[in-house]
Amino acid sequence: MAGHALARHLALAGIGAAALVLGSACGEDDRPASFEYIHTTIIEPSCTTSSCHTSAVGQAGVRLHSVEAAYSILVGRPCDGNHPPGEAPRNYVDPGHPERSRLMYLLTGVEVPRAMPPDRPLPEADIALIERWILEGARCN
Amino acid sequence: MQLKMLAAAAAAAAALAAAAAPAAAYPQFQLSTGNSRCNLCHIAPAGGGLINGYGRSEAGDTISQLGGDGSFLYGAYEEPDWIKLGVDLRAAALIRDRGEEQDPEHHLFPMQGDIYAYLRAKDFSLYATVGPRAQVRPPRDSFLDRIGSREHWVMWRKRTTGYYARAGRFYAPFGLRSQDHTLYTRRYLGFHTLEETYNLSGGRVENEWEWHATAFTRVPDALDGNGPRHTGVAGYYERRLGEDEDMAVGAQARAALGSDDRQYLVGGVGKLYLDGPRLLLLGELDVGYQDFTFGAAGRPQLAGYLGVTYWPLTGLMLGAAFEQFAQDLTVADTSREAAQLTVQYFPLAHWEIMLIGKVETGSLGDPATLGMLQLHYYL
Repeated sequence: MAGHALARHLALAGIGAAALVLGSACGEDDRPASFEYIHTTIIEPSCTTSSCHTSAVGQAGVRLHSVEAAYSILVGRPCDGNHPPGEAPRNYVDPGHPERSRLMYLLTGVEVPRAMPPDRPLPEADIALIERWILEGARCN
Repeated sequence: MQLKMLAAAAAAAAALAAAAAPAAAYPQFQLSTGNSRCNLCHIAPAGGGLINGYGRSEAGDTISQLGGDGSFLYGAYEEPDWIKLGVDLRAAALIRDRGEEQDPEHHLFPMQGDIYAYLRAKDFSLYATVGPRAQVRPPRDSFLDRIGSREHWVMWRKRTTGYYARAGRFYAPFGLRSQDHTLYTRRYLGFHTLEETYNLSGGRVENEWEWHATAFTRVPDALDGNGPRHTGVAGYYERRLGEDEDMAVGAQARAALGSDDRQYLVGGVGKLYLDGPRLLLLGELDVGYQDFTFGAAGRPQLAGYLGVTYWPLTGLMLGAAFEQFAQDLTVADTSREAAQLTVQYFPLAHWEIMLIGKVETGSLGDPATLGMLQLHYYL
């Protein structure tokens, strides 16, 4: 009987642990506004999943699966001087000018028919980091 | 007769053409139906996917309001012992609202159209799923371009209890393993839809406990790979507790290594079914750390799920859940939360109707809301 009560407490503790999801982060955003960081932490988990901008699917002809492919298609020039084969460069980013960059409008959902990502918006801090990267010249760093 | 067969084949092809996306397990049924382990009803050792003969009978006898014959083809064709077949079809309608700046978005789309086959010879078996990938938004690829196999594996197993070894493509056993691929604990931890990895896995399943250990690597792009570019190991242990095995606790860990980053996760799971009020509580909490090979500071992460399910009557399942994902605990305004209400109705064996309402908030600006109606049929 005592074992049963203990087991019940253990199960409740496990469930309660999930209830204690606090996650209320509070630090300053000193993340690097580098494209490699942005690709690894924002673009890859948010844009290259499921049936979206993967190498295999490339929804709307946009493939963001690698740093090189994503940079080429977003900024309209290659990272290393060579365009990845099969990719037509676009111009979603105007380096130094987030207000003229279509990417910012897509991410904020302002003045576009469909915001990106369409399933769920990016956190505001992530959009701010991308804006900072554009302001600092949108380099492939 | 030939015309009828052709018409049936055309109807099946049309249904499949209209379909796509993965089905996994319904962890709500594990303890609430009196079945302590997932592989009592599913062929896979950790649950999910094709159900076996007992699972099919449970679908009619225990889960559906009006019962019915849950057998393959309603029993019109009885499979021999060495083969099991199945078909899963889902269609969905959704409406999404992302706030004042955006018009609400409506979609009616095929969600799943999977054919399953399982062949067994003594202690060895082969399992494969074939179906089109879901694509919610146009322009849609052609049907043939979307055909793929989310799962294909071979397994050695003497009985459903005891040791097993499995190799091939599937989700590594980890955490709650819900069928809802949008749950943060799936969506952001490497278990989103079509993110099944290639694995070498083994474990042991008993009535009171089970463990699974998996070495995994991402499916290459050329083979329709999706998800994080990681190779690593994952483990899951679960113990059923209580006199009636109406509760369970689990623990999981995962190390995933890529060329740009490395992600480490540890977490736990709790499950408790209260037979009197017919309530089930499910919870999962995962704490992670991601570091980067290019010199940037790493980030601690956290993903959590807490859900309650209530059965007011047989065949009707009402759920409420809260989720959180903090992608970087050191930086403000990078987390997201979601609350979800779910109504699932199983009128007859082979049928399910699901209604989902979800609100996402956190550091996302305007709350994003989602309503979805799903019609699910399996053969």
